[in-house]
Amino acid sequence: MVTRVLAVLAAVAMVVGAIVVRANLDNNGAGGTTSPTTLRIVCATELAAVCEALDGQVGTTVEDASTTAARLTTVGDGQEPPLDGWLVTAPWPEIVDGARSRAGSEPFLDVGDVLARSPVVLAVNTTRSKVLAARCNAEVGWKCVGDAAGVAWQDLPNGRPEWGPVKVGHPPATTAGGLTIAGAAAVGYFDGSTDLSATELADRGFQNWLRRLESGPQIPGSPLLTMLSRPSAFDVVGALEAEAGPAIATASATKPVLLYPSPVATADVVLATSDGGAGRRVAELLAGTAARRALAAAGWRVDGVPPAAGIRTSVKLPTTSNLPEPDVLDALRSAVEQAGR
Amino acid sequence: MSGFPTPNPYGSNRKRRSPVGAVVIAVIVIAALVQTCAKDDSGSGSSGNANEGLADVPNGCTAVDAASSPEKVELLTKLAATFNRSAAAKEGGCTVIRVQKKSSGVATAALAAGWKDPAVDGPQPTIWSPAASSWGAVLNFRLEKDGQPAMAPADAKPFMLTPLVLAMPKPMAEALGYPATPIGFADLIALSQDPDGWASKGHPEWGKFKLGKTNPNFSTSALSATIAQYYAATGKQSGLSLEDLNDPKVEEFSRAVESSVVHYGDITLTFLNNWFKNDARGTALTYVSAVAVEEKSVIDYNRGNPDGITDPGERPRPPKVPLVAVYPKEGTLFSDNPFFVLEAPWVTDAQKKGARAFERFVQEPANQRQVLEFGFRPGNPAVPVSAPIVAANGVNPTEPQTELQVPSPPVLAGVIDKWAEHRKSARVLLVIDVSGSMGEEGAAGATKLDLAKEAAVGALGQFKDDDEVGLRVFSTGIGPDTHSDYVDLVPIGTIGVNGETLRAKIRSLIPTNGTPLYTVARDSHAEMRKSYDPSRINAVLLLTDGRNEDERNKDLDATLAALGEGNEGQATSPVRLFPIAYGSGADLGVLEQMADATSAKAYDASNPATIKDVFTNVVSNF
Repeated sequence: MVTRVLAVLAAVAMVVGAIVVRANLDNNGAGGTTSPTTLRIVCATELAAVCEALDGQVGTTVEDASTTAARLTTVGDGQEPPLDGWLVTAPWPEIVDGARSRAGSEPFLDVGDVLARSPVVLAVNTTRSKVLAARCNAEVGWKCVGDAAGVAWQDLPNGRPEWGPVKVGHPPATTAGGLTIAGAAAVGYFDGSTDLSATELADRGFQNWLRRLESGPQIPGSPLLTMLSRPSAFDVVGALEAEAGPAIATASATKPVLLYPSPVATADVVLATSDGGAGRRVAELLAGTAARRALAAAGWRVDGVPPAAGIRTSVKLPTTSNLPEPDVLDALRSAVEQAGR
Repeated sequence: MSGFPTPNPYGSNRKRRSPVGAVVIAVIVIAALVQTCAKDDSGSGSSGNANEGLADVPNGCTAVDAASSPEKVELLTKLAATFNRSAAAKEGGCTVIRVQKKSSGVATAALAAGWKDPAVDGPQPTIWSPAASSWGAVLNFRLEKDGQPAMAPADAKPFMLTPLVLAMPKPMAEALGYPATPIGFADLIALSQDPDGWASKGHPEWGKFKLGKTNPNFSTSALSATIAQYYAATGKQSGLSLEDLNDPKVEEFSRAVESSVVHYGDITLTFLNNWFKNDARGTALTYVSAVAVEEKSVIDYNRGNPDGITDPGERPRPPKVPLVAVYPKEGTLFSDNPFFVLEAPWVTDAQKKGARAFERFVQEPANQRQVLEFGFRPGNPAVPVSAPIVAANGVNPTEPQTELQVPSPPVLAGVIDKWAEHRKSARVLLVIDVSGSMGEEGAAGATKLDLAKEAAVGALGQFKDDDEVGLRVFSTGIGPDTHSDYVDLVPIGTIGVNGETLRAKIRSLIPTNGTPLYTVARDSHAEMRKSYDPSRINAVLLLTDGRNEDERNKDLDATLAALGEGNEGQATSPVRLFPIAYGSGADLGVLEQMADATSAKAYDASNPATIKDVFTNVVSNF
C-alpha cells in the first residue's frame, strides 16, 4: 500500500515537474525575443575575435562574408532571417540588399554606425622593396604592384634571378577584408577615382592588369601569415592593417615593410540588423566595453580605445572609405573571381 | 548541418525550482547528455575495432579524431595528450583528441571515398593534417568530380613547415660549386644526362650521376619533386598546365630524367636508411648522388638518425659523409602540414569546436617551439626559426628564395598520371613461397596463400605494360633435378604480354613442402644479375612465411655475401631483393639482413590481413 502511494506521488510529481519545465522552456523560447540567450550574431571571419568575446552571452557564428551574404540574399519576404546581427565590413549589407532588390525581394537590413576601421596596407619583402620602389618611381601603389606581378625580378633593376617572379597575394574577394582590398586595388588602378562603374571594370586594360594581379600563388590560409612564416611564398601582400600590424609586430623573422598605398582605403566595421528589438539589443552589446576592446585587441581602430601593438596611428584615416559604390564592388568580386581562374 | 547556432538546450538562466522539478530536470538532462555523447561517439566513428591504441573517451566528452601524416604523428600525439589534460580541452564541454597515423595519399583516397570503413581505415577524422595542402586540393577535386561538396576548407593554417630540397653528399655538392653557386633542378638533370657523369666535374671515381626518387602516389616529397621536374622541363616557375605535360619535348625531358633514376623508393625514409647503411660501408658516394627530400630529413640524417625516430637503445652516430640541402635555384615547394577541420558529413558541431580549440593550442608559441625539435620550421611566425635548422646540420634557414607554384588539382592529377607513364621501367622476378605452412589459415575462411595470391594479382595492376615480370615459386623438392627447390612458372616478360598468364598462374598456386629460403634467394638474385638490364630497375620480390628449412643450405653468411655482391653502391649491375615477411612464422630478422645486403628493404606482413597493402608498398619501389 505504501509503495503504491509513493508511486502515485512520484507520478504526480513528475507530471508537475514536466509542466514546470515546459512552462520554463516556453517562456525562454517564445519567439526568441525575451531572453538575451536567444540572440544570434554572425561575425565575418576577420571579426571572429568579437564573436569569441561574446560567446556564452549570445549564439555566435563565424564565417566568410560571402557565405552569410548568400544566406541572407535567399531569405524569402516575410521569413525570419537566420540572424539578429551581422558584424561585417561595409558595404556587404548593402550588397545583400541590392541583390535582394534585383531578385524582387524586399531589402531588410538596417546598417548602424561605423564601429571600427582599418586601412588597407601593402606588406613588401624588405630586401626586395627597394627594387620595387625603383620600378614604381618611389611610390609603391596598387597600379605599380599589379604591373610588376609575375615579372621576373631579374628583369627589374638590381633584381636577382633566384628571387623568381614577383609574387603578389591577398585574401579572396569573398571575404570582408578581401573585397575591401580588391576595391582599394581597383581605385588605385584608376588613379584614385572611386567613381567607378561596370564600364571601367570591363576595360580590357584593367582586366589584363587584374589577371596579372591575380596570377600569384594560391596558398590556403592568410597570405600575410604565410609571408611571415615563409618569406619565399610572397613578395607583396595586400592586407588590412588590423591583421598585418599586430602580426608583423610580433613576427620573429625579417619583418616586411608596411606601406599605406594612396589613396588610403578603409574597411569600416558595421552592424547590420533585421529586427527592431533583437537588433537593438545586439547593437547595445556591440557598443559595450567587451566588444570594443575585442575589436581593438584584434587590431581594429576603435575611437577611445587604445590600439593594439603595430597599429600606426600616425597614419590618419580618410573621412570616407575611399571604396567604389556597393554595386560596383559586387561586380568587382565577380571580375576578381574570373581573373583568378 | 546549419552554420547558425541553435539555442543551448541546457541554458544558463537557471531559476529556483521545486525539488521534484529539479529531480525531473536532472533526469532529463542526464538522458539528454547520454544521447549527446552517443551521437558524438558515433560521429567520430569510434565504435569500430580499428581503435586499438586510441585514447579512451570518458562519458560526457567528445572524441575528436585526427588523421596525421606519419612524420608528425609522434609530435601531434604528444601535444594531444597535453591538450587533453589542459583547461583548453574543457572549455564549453570536454574534448578528447585522438591521433592516428595516416599517410597523405591513403587518407586522401579514404576521404574521397567517404571514409566508409572505420574498421579498416580507423575512426572517421574531424581533423586531417596531410603533409601538404596540395593533398587537400586533390581531395576537393576528386569530390567535385563525383558531385560531392568540398571537405578541405581553404583557410587551413599550417602546423609546421619544411621545404623540399635536393639532398646531396657534401663533396658532390661542392663539386658543383656549393655553397657559392646556386644549383637547380636543371643543373642536376643536365648532369644526369651527361655520358661522362661525374668525370665531367673532375670526379670519375663517383661514376654516373644517380638520381634517387620516391613514388608520388605515396610520398609528398616525391609529388613535389615530380612537379619541380616538370617545371624544369618547361622553364616555367608557375602556371604549369595540362598542355605542358602533353608537350612532346616535356615528355622526352621527363623520360630522360627518369632514366637516370637509380631506383625508386616507396618513401624517402627507405632511401635515407639505405644511404646511411652505404655510408657505414664507405659507399655513400656511389650509391646515389642526389635525392629530393624534405629539409628536415637532411637534419635527421646528419644527426645520425635518418628515419627521424629514435628507437630504444639507439645511439645516433653522424655519418662519415654528411649531406647538404641544396635549395633549387628555380624555386621549390613547401610541405606546409595544414590543419584541416573537415567539412565532412560525419563531423558534428561539438567536434568542430573541439578541433578549433586544439588548433589554437598547437599554434601557441610554446607548442610551436616543439616542432623545431623535430627539424621542422614553425607554422606560427611569432616563433623564430632556430636550431637545429642551422648550417652545421647542412641546411640554411634563410633559404629558399622563391617557390614554385603548386599546380591546379587537375594538373596535379596529370603529373601523377604522366609519372606513371614516364617512370623507369622495371624488371622484377616475383618469388613466392608455396611451402606447406602457406596452407594455414590467414584470415577467416582463407589460407595465407589465398590472401597472398589475391594481393599479388592486385599488385600486378601497379605495373605498366612494358614492365617485365616473371613468376617463380619455391618449396623443397618442387623443382627439376637441376634446382630442386624452385620452379619458374612464368618466364620474365612484359606485363602487356604476360599479364593474364601471370594472374592465372598465381591464382592456381597450392601449398606443398618446406622452405629453402637461402637457396632460392641466392639463386634468384644471381640469375637476375646475370640477365641484368641497365635500362630498367632490376629487382627480386620474395614472399615467404617461414624460416630456412633446407638442411642442404644453412649458410646465412655465404648467402648474404652472395647477395652483397650485387649491392647498389658497389656493383655495376645492382639487383635489389625485397623480401616480405608474411605471417607470424616468417624470419623477419634474416630477411632484413638480406634486404640490407642489396640496399633494399624488408617488409613486415606478420599480420596476414595486411598483405594487400604491403604488396602495394613493395611494388611502389619499381
